[in-house]
Amino acid sequence: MMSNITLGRYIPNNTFFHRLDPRCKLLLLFIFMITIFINLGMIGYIVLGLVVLLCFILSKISILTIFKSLKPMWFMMIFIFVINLFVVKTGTPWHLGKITIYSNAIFATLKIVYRLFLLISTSTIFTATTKPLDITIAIEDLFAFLKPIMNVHILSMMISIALRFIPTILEETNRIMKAQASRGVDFVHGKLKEKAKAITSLIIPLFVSAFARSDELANAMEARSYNPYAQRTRYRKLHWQFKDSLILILSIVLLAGFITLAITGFAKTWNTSIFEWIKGWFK
Amino acid sequence: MNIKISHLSYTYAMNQPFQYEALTDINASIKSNDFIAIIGQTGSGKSTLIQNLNGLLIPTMGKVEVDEFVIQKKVKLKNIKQLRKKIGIVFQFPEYQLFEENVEKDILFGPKNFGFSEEQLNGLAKKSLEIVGLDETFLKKSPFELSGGEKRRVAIAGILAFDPEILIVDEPTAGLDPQTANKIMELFNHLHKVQKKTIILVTHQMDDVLKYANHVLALKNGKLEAYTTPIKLFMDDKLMQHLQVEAPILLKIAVEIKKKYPAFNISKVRDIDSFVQQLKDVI
Amino acid sequence: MDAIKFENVTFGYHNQTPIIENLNLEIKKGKYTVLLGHNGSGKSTIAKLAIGLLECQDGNIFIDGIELNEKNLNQIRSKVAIVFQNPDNQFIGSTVRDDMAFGLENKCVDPNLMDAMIEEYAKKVNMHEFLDTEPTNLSGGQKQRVALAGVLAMQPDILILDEATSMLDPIGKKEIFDVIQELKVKRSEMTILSITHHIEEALFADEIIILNNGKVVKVGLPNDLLYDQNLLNQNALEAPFIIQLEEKLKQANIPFEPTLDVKELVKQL
Repeated sequence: MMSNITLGRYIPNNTFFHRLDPRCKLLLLFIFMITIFINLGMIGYIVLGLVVLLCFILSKISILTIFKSLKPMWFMMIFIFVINLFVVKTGTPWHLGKITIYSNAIFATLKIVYRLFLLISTSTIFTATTKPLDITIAIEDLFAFLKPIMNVHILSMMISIALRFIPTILEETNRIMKAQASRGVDFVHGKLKEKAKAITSLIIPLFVSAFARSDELANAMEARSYNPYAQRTRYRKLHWQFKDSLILILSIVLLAGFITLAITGFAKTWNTSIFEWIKGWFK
Repeated sequence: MNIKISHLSYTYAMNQPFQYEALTDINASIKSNDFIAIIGQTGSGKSTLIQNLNGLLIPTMGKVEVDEFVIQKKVKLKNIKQLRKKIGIVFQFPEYQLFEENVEKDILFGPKNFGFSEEQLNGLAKKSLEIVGLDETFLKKSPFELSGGEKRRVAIAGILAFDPEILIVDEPTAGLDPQTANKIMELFNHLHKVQKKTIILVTHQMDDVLKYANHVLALKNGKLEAYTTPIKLFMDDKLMQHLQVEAPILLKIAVEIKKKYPAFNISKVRDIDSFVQQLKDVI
Repeated sequence: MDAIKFENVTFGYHNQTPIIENLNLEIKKGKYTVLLGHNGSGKSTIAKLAIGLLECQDGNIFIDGIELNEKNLNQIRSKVAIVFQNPDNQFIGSTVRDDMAFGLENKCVDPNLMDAMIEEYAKKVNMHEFLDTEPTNLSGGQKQRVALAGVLAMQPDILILDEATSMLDPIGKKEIFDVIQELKVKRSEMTILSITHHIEEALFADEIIILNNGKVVKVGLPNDLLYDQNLLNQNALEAPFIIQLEEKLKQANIPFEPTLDVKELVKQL
């Protein structure tokens, strides 16, 4: 059956992003992650947001799907906000009856949420435009320098098998949940003890079948002469093209730019107060 | 208990990139104490249909009525547990739902969830095991040390234990050897004939449909193509071709025999024994 | 010389009662042999022993005359290929193409030759239009055909089918069955061993071996063994449909000549 999880799933297409070399995309993702965690300041975040928006357009993924998959984040957002409410006591104070809210509590929350949003968006674009297999090949290639100290191939094989079986295990989870629900298990309501029981009735069968599966899979692999330590050839070859170099250089330049801005203190404008910052524009 | 299905449609992953309509405008009623077979190719919507009958899935359009229970979008079903107690589902490969440390506990898991009293639980596991043809020595065994066929029976006993009025079984004989498979089918037939239970059998085995079912409900691409008696369906060559289902060989032979002996009564043929009986009568 | 030979083989899991004990078994080279037994008769254990996934506690196993041991495991595995029961748990690659390539990679085939080989063997099982499809979008029967193509591409001398159709729907069963029938006709030297409880498959075998409780009960031709209701019943097997029918006809004193052909039977009645 179809599972409704879109997050992290490969969406077949033939866009600019799909055609980029997976190694290039993986490096881009790293660069993006670093960039996101630099304190960028208002302009920086807007620019970064626009870059991500451009990526969405180029990869033909609807931003709406991302928003939908972000639903669980609402809870986190409220949680962070509540914490910030008590911790952050700077910025313009607003009095709502007995409670005083400081503007920076809101901004700090927005900033975290915005960063998370960018992070999830970029990783989603990466996984939606890169086949799981290509990701593992990219990892194997990019980490090839580690070969003298570890077997990179085993790592990439493990990841590729994990990725291959995610849909299968999700399906299985769904099926067991339904089977137990038919036996009167309520996974949503109930007391803590009942819930613990409900989760056990899901986890144990899931583990039993996962172990059986891995056993059979190992047999099937071994029967087909697989030996992780032996010499083997590789069917999939990656092709690095000029555009990959170009994009990579561009993003490194962008990253360098952001780092410079952050070091020069421009980014601090965010932290002072957005109002003062806007006022500054009109001076 | 009667089931009334009106204009039932079900769509997976509504409004998402992987949206998929599994059932389209199904209308049917199932009478109490009937033996119904649901047939159709893999992916024709059989599993989706049965999951709509006990509220595991809620119709995206239309509704399902089971006596006083109404399963419908946007109408909260109050006693969903009561409904699931009355409609038991034995899923395909039900052995995957076993999780307790011994067979007895696993069988009583459902009844406990449905709030059976200590008095009702007393001796229930033993009784349920007897129905599926296993003796009480199994009670204290771990479900994981049983053979495939025994696990299947224990899982079925776990559903029978809470005494559902309607029993839905999805491919109950898949993967079993022929003798075990026969015994399991005879068990459901017994529950139907003696305990007067309504049986809804999802199957690919047309021999079983002919032998046991009073009515057959045929699906193709999520649409209800026929709801009639097995003989009528199997005799309709055009429909069978459309469904891409093979009629039982026995019936094909019977058709040939009828050409030779017009007195031969095809509608009485259900298995080899009844076929030979009919043949004897006409020769 | 036999393709597979078991000599007094004993095997059991960790000190438990042996699943098979002192088993002697010969699978003839170039033949299509069906190994019949009910669930738990030890038939899958035999497959795993033959390909070295399990190690026997006692006795010897010979593949093409070579005694199986730890040192020549790789050599043996390049001769023997196996298709297992569960379509999902033997699909390793993320697409049909990659799954078929997996075995070739292990055999160190030149990657430039792989595409042609993949195409060729995918055609044999009628899956060449699905080369870039992911396993989640394939039916059980299709996955099994991919598994079959994947091992055939490794050009084995011996093909073992370990209940390869038992988890499939009728269409899937027929798809695999048709491919096997074709292989049986076209194969040059390949030995096929089908392990099953699906008796209809045995009708077309060159030889049938009936197994029960880890022991060979009987070896013979389909015509000899499949009519023997007693033998089949004792081993928890069910006779093929046509034979069941003929048996009942006999009991009802309806005259006819025994045959394995349904049309022929109908003509007589």
